[in-house]
Amino acid sequence: MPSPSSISTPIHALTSQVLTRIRSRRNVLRELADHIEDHSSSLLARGFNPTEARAQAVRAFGDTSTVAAQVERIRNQGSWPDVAMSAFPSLFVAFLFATNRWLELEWIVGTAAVAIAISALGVYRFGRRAWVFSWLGYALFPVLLISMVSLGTTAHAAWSVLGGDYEARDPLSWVLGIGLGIAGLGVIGALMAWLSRKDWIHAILVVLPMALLSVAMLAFDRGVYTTIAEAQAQNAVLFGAFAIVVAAAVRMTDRLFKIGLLAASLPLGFLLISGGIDIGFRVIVTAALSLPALLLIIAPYVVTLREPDTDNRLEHSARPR
Amino acid sequence: MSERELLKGSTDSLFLALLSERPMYGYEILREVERRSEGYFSMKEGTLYPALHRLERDGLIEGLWRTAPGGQYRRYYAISNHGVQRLEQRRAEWVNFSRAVNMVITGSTP
Repeated sequence: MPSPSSISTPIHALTSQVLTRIRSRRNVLRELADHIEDHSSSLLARGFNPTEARAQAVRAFGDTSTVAAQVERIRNQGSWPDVAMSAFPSLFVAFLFATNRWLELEWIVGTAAVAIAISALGVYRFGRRAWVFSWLGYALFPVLLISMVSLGTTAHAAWSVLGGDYEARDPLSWVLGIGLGIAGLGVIGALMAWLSRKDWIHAILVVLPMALLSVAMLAFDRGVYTTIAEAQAQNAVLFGAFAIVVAAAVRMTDRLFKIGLLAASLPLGFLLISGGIDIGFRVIVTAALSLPALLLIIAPYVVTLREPDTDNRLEHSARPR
Repeated sequence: MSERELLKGSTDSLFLALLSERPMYGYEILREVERRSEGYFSMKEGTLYPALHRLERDGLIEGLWRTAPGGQYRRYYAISNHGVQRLEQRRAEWVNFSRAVNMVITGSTP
């Protein structure tokens, strides 16, 4: 029979990683430790002494580190079809910019409709595959657009009224403007909050296309580009580059690198398309975009550190006594 | 073909069939497979989890942490709509396959 110290080595190796890994890793390790605990309890009930029960449970399970690594790879690394499906919507948006179709209503509506249909089908048929969230980000853009336009026009009208230039506007327009604006943002906010609790990477995959499209439209609206052709070319490059970033992130196995790469794409994307803006303004906006990116990277660590009780439970339950 | 190879091709169907009855956690699934097969299907315990997480990644099952009847916090797995459809498909394939093999090997006719 293995000695307690030889048995404790894989379990200690298992538990020692807990505090230095992000939540996904810990949940996998915790699940494996639960299994060993259940088996051990079952053997105890059948008359084994505690040391013997834990030794046998650990032996029956096999190498926990190898199993944890296998599970992590399965959970985190997308297959090549996943990579292609994740990158496709961004490549298609790059195509719309490159071929001057981004201002044609039928192309915009058609793209949004296809994105909504594929997202709905993806959620129903494939559950939580990473590519579904990449499409969902584009599917939600009409919601964001309606919300922003509603709030923008309402704010403009309110500003006119406050400035003394009374603008004829019926009460229903005020209600609709504010209601649609808040409802749209509420839907997106609630979805993001729910996704963040489930999986940070899925949440980032949803929010980034909306953020990048907003940045691109803002740059266009603010007259960053001197010609339409320049805007098209820069935005085509932006979304082409973003497709590559998404593909790389989906294929990576390390969750922290995935989050870091995706989060960094927003400030870098802004830098790419904001060549015509005053340098001081560019620095301020880049810093402002980098802050949420930084938060996205460190937040999983914060979440992990806020739950020390789980680590204690894992260590005490899985270690042979 | 060895029993091990036979099991390798059937684990997904076994897990989906069990989870179609009720949600279960890992250790419970393993013991239930052993009990129902009267010990015929016995696997290295650690190999269960890559299989479960692959099914979850493919959207066939869903994992959720919740409290077990004994008060412990466990990761339960439940079959998804997509998983139910896949199970029906696998069941039909299995019935046809086993019927055909029986007819050839034992010479029996249905």
